Amino acid sequence: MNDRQEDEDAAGPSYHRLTVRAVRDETADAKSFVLIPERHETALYRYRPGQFLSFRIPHEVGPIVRSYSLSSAPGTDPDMTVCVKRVVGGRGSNWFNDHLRTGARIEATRPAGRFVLRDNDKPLLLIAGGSGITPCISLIKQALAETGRRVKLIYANQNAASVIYRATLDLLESRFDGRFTCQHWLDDDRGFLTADDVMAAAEGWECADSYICGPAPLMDMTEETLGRQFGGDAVILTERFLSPDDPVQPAVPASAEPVPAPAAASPFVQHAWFRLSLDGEDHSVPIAEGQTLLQAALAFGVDVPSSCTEGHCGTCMAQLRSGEVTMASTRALSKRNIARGYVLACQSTPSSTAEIWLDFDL
Amino acid sequence: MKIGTIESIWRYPVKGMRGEEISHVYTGFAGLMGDRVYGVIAADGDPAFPWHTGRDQEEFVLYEASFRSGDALLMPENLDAFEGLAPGIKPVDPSAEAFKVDVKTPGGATNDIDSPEFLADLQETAGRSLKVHMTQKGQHDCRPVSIFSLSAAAKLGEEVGMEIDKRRFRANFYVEWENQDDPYYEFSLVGKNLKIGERLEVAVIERDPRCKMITLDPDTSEESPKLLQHVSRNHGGDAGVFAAVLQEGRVKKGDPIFLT
Ligand SMILES: Cc1cc2nc3c(=O)[nH]c(=O)nc-3n(C[C@H](O)[C@H](O)[C@H](O)COP(=O)(O)OP(=O)(O)OC[C@H]3O[C@@H](n4cnc5c(N)ncnc54)[C@H](O)[C@@H]3O)c2cc1C
Ligand code: FES
Repeated sequence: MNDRQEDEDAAGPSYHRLTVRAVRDETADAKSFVLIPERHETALYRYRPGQFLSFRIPHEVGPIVRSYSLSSAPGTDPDMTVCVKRVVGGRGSNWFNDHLRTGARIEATRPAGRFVLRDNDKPLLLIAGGSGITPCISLIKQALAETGRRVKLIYANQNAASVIYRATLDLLESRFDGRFTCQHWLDDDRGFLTADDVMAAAEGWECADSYICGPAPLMDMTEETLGRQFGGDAVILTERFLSPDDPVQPAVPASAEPVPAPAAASPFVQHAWFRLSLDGEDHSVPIAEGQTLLQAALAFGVDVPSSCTEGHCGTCMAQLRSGEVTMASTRALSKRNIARGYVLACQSTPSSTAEIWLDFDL
Repeated sequence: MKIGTIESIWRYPVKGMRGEEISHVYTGFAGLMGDRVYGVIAADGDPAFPWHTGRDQEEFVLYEASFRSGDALLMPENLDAFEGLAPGIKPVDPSAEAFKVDVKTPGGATNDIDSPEFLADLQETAGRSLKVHMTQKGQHDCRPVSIFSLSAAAKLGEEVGMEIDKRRFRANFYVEWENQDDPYYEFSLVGKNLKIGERLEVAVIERDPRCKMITLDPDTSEESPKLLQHVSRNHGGDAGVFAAVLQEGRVKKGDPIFLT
């Protein structure tokens, strides 16, 4: 296990900063965002077409997490791109569309997901609806550029104005004439796509691997129809665009007294809580074994200052008013800082049973 | 479209030490002529960032470095001839001799940075084993040119509730933007190209992620951690922007900045 995996096990997925290099309007209610990782983290952002990133988005109730599939493909596009379509009343999608500008930074997990091409040379049948085009277009670009596979896309939208990536699809169709067909389905012309329409479009593609992504009713109907039509051995992959449940926000106790820890099984358990002062307020922060003081504070929802999390920038510097910690690195600390009892929260773990009090109000 | 003016030009002969304000300078692909050509490397430094700076010894920002050759290190010789040839012909840089640097310590002693006396004194003060490292190519952390606006310095001061000296941000070009609505206007320029003065063209590449250096008062070296805490919590840790040079050129105080 490498260090980063250990981090993720201890404190949930780790987030990394991406810079928005460009924002493009795709339709009236969808925008593409071109995202660049930090230079030293490019290796973390190697991805497979069809994968997604999960973003931590600021929100008044605390950060919310939303996933967005990459519409780019590493073999054909220089940079990672996601496309976010507004959902009426949606918090994440509207935040992306209203607030995320060129030059801004956003936090994201590493790429993940299994909605990827199988290693074979079967044809590909993709059924997408609305924003469900994003992972599909990535798969299509890869299949056309890097394999000889035949590809058919059935792309359902409410009307012509809501078709995302129309120009790219047209271009691919003309460039890969004979290998790629895109069949647009517009609800305002023909009503919703039905099981009969899907069966007709899929005729002759029985040996294909199928990929389905779009609104839930469309996905349910298509998955069932193709399952019946293609038989039990058919490969049918789906990607469902759901938001996770809202996290339960921890109630931050304002008492300066640490909540007493349960009877200690190991010396460490004594540190199940530590005291943290920030902006003139005291917090009792729970800390798990292996967590740094910074990880524990952030996980508990306290907005402590931090940046590099690698002991390099000094942003998380705070005064250790009591207790003892071990620091993995003291790089950002001068002799004067150390003499003043300053520590780096991102590098510190408790090292004795003495009660820890970490003060950011320097 | 004119979007701003160069308010002042600064270069830092020694990385981490006090900068000097200059009236004009030639800016090449490797940055402002003479900028950060010297640095001090710590034997026990991190391999990825071995520099000894104010991060390790706050008073380092009080050391004053200057080029002995004075104005010779502002412009390449015969620049007019090169510029007359064709756009983009690179002039010949000054000779190695012109890059000699003297350093005045906070205690008042002045020494050649390459002298054993300078190093012995610094090692003793810093309490670690150090060496002076010189290359005529600027030794910048990230990108060759840094840009920071006076409006950002003023606004940060207002937000944090303290007087903020722009020199904390150690930029090369301090600018005044025409845009009076957005004090952090430089952030919106990431991804855009700027023309400064008659020839210099830069691409604004990214925001400048900040570290402990901005917490240090440039005159006393006392630290105000709350400034970095504020930048981290309210501005994603960034202040100012970095640019890369697309076309070399001379810049002088008061030059206009255009969006190309
Ligand atoms: C793997 C994966 C990939 C994805 N890829 C993409 C993609 O490429 N492009 C894309 O656009 N989307 C994608 N999504 C969907 C995306 O993650 C979000 O689910 C979507 O943007 C909606 O999020 P939101 O925050 O805007 O809406 P939410 O705030 O989650 O709201 C969703 C709906 O619930 C309603 N709602 C919100 N709060 C409440 C409440 N308290 N009570 C009742 N109703 C409420 C809203 O009105 C809205 O109709 C993907 C999802 C997954 C899991
Ligand atoms: S966050 Fe950079 S040193 Fe801790």
